Amino acid sequence: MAGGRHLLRDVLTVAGQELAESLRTRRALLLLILFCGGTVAGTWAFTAFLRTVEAQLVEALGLDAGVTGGATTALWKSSFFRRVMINMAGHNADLAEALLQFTPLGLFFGWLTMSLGPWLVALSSSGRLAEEIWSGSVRFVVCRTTRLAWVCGKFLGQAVLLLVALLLSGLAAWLTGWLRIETFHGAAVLRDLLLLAPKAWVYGLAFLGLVTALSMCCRSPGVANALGVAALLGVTAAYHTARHFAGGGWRRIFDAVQLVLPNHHYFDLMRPDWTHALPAAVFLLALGLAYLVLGYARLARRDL
Amino acid sequence: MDPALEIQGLAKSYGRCRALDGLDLTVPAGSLFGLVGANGAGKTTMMSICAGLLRPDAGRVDLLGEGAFDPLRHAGRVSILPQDARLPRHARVAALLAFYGRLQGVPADGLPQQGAQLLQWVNLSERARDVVNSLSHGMLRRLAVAQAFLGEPRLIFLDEPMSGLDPREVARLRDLLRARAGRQTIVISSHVLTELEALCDRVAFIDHGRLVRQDRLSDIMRHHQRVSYRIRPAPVPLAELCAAVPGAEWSVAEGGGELIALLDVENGGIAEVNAQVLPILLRAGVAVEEVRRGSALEEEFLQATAAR
Repeated sequence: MAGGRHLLRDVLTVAGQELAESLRTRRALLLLILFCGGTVAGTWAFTAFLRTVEAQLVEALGLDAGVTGGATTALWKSSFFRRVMINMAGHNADLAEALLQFTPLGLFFGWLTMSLGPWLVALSSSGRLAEEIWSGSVRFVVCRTTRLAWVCGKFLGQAVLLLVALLLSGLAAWLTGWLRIETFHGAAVLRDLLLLAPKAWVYGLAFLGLVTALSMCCRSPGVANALGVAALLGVTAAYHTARHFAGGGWRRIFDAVQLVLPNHHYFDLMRPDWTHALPAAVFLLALGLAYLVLGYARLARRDL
Repeated sequence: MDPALEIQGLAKSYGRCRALDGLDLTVPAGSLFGLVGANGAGKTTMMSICAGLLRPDAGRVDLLGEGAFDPLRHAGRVSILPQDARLPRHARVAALLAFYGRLQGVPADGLPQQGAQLLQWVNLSERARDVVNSLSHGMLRRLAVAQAFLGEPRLIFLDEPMSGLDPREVARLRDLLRARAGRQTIVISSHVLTELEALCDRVAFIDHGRLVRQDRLSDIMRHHQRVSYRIRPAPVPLAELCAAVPGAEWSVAEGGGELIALLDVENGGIAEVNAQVLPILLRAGVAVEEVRRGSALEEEFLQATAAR
C-alpha cells in the first residue's frame, strides 16, 4: 500500500517536472503552435471551401443571398453528400450516418486532430526518454524512485500536454469558425469540439504509448525520433495491409492484427454514440498501455 | 563495525569486455573509503551497479544490510554522484534539488532549507535561481555533489567528485567530506591519489575488475614513503646513499633531473632521512632544487598491480 502511495506520489512529481521542463524548453510552446496553427490553418481552408460551395450553390440554385449557411446545411443533409460520406467511410452507411450527426466544423476538427495528432506526438515525444538516457540525467532520478514511476510520470506529463494542446486547438477552431462562418452554430460546434478533442486525445495516447516504448529502447534521441516516425508509418502501412488481406479462413489472422493497431479503432472512436466510441476508447487506452508495458519490459532490464 | 556495503563475486561484462571479474569488497559503516584503479579497472561500473543503474551479470551486493539496491527501500538512504551524467540543462538550480528531494521523500517543509544549506555547502547559493545550463563545468560538478547529499543518505558513492574543480573548491570539498566521516559512509573514486591519501581512512585497489588489496590507509602507508629530489643533472652517489639509508630504494629518473627514494618504514621519518641524504648529495656536488614528498599510495598501487 505504502509502495503504491509512493509510486503515485513519484509519478505525479515526475509528471509535474516533465510539464515544467516542457514549458522551460519551449517544447510545449512549439507543440501548441503546431497544433493550434495547424488547426487554424486547416479550419480557415475548410471554411473557405464551405463558403465557395455555398456561394456556388446559391448561384446555381438562384437562391436569395440571405440563405447562405442554410445551403451548407442542405448540402450536408443531401443524399449526394451522404453517398460521398459512405464512400469515405469505407462503404459503411451506418457509420456515415453517424458521422453526419456532427456539425461540418466539428467533423473536420475531429478528422484533422486525429490525423495530425499522432504525427505531432511522434515528432515531439519520441525522443523524450531516450534524451535523458543519453545525457545520463535519468541516473539522478532512478536512484531516487523506481524506473516504473519515471516512465509513468514522463508518459503522464506528455499526455497532459497533448490534452491541453488539443483543447486549445479546439478553442482555436471554434474561434476561426466564429469569425469565418456567417451562420455559425456556436453551441453545437462547441459541443462537438468538446466531444472530439478528448477522443483525439485518446487516439493520440495509443501512439504516445508506442513512441514512448520505442524511446525506452534507444540511447540516442535522434534514433528514437526516427524510430517514432518510422513506427507511425509502419503501423499505418500494417493496418492498410491487414485490412486489405483480411477475410475468411486463415486470413482471419489479419483481423486480429488490425485489432492491435490504433488505426483500426479510428472510426468507432469518432462515432457520436458511446456504444461504439467507449469500447474503442478503452481498447485504444489499453493498446497505449500495452505498448508502454512492452517498452518498460526492456527498460527494466537495461543498463542506464 | 557493521559493513555499509558488502560485495561478493560481482561480475559485469560489456560485450566481450569484462569490466568486473568477481569483485569482492567490504566497506565498513562510517568510513571514507577510497577506490583506486586505472582507467577501466571497474570502479565506475561497481558504483553504478551498487546504485541500481547497471545490472550485474553475477554476484551479490548488500547495501546497509538490506540486500541489493531497491529504490523503494534505499531512496534517500543510498545516493550516487555518477561520473558522466549531465544534470537537466533547463532546470533551475534550487528547483532541481527540490525535485530530487521530493522524489526521495524529503519532507516538503524541510526541502527549501536543506536545498539552501547544500548550495551554501558547495558555494552555489548565489546561483540558486539560475538555470543549470548557465553554470560552468566546475559549478555543475559541485551541484552534482550537492544532490548526492540530499536527505542525509547513509551511504554515498562519489565517482570522481574532484574532477573539474579548482584548487580552492577541492580543498573546500575535502574539508566538508572529512567533517562527515563517521556519520555517513562515503565511497570515493579518484585518479588523484594524493586526494584520496589526504581524505580516506580506508582504500581498495581494483585492477581488471578484481580486488587487489583492501586495507586501512594507515596500514598501506606504513610500508613505504616516497620522496622526490629535484636536482640539477649530475652523477649521483647511489652506492653511498644505499649505505646511508639501508632498505631504501633509490633511482634516478630518465634525464637525471629527479632522484627518487622509496623509503621503508624502518628508515624513520623523512626529516631524519634528509638529514643523512642531503649532506651526501651536497658533498658530491649535486645541486638540490626541491625536496617533495610523493604519493606513497600511488607507489603502493603501482606495486600491487604490477604483478598482474
